[in-house]
Amino acid sequence: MTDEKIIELYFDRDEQALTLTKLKYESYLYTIAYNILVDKPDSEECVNDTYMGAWNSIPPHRPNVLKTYLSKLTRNISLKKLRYNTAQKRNNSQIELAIDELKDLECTTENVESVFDEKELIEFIGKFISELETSKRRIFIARYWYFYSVRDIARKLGYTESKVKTTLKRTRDKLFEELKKEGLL
Amino acid sequence: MTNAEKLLNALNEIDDRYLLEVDKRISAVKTRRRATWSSIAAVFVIFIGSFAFMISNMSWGNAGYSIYGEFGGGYFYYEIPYKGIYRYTVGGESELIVKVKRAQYYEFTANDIGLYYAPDNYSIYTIPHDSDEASLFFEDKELNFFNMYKYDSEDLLLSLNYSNDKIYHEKEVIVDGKTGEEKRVAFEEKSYYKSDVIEKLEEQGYSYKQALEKAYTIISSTGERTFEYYEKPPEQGNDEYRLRIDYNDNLTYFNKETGQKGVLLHEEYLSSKDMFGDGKNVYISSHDFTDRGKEIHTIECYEIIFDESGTPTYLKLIDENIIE
Repeated sequence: MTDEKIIELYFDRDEQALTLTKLKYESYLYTIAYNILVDKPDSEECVNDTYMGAWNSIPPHRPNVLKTYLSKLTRNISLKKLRYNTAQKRNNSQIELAIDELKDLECTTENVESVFDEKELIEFIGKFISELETSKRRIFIARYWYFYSVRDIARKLGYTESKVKTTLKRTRDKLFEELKKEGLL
Repeated sequence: MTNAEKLLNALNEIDDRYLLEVDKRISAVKTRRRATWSSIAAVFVIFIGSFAFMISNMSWGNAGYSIYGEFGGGYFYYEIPYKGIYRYTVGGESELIVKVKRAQYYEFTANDIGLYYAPDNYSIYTIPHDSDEASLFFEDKELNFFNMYKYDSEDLLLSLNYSNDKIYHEKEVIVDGKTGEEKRVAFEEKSYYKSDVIEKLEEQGYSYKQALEKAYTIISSTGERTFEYYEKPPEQGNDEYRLRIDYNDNLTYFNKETGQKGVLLHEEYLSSKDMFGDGKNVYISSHDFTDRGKEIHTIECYEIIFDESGTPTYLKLIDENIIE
């Protein structure tokens, strides 16, 4: 089943669209949610909310790539759910480790006013990602978009764990430098 | 919301093509692994495959090969690429248990029952801890390739892939570590990633909707589908403490119950090394090259020293290099 045909079913308001979306992408979306939430029921809920989100937004929206559209919905919903959950307790998920790795982004005592402007940040990160070498970009996205652990990235992308760790460290250093250069940090 | 959280949110807006770039790479690695396993069949293919593999590694800038390690039955098992799987006892010596033949490495894992290794793409052999004799543990010649993980102290999780050019079929099963019998299916996904079936049905005169319904019946009837979810294998450390190397070259512990955390070791370039820990001992593996380009592997063995309250305090070096 091609994605184009599944999207057509959404436009026809045919509920088979949901069945086929589930059949094709459930485990993929679940992995994204689970990497963020580390909780089975919460991840299932977020994946179900993704289907609901897709049903409500297609139409009018027509995704260019259904897979990435769904994965972005899942990631957004899961991040919101995580914020709600972490107001109560920490769960040591990959995202918390990722945030820990990015702690240098937080305001120092010298620049307490430094907070990111959302629009500027989106533009900046788009440019930063596009200028990275392909292998570095893959590793960076696997870590900070998909929230895969270092070990999973090494196995899935076919690199050594040492290479993944070193690449992430260097890319983060470059990111902090660029943010400072642009006056965003 | 913190700046780090804002940055992670902003990443959600990146171009789709970068996400697809990661997906394509994951598929390519799977295909490459399959190709590597298949190449075992013929010496010529091995030669070409190895050469291609070396070239591909060079082009990605890999700096040598990492050592992989697993704990089981009080032993530490590790594998040196192109050599084999070794068994090490704290305070003792390393012993070559399985010699790797005609491959870079064998997939392996270990639990309280024994060592499990895969010399090909469809079978697993096991060696109990108190023995040196290998016996066949699992075999399925229909397999395309598979991965195995320690599920708990006695059971294994096998990730089985039966995909071909028409269908994507992946199944994850929990098997009994003693008998090899399937206990339950933890996850299964089967889907046509090409629209061949529907296109063929349309060619036979079915309308698109009819073809869709018929194809859907075919997909559903090719096997019992389950939507139970993937359960992650255990993390490094033990039930109480999680160990990890952070990006500031610290080896840290984290108590999952109390939230207590601390640094056990700080060393220059530690973040570029691999670590294996079981809650009692920690092994740190690194690799370097001689002037002539020969790769040298080192594995240091440490004991975790606890204070009276049971809190880890520091690491005591037991062996500078467990590799003979």
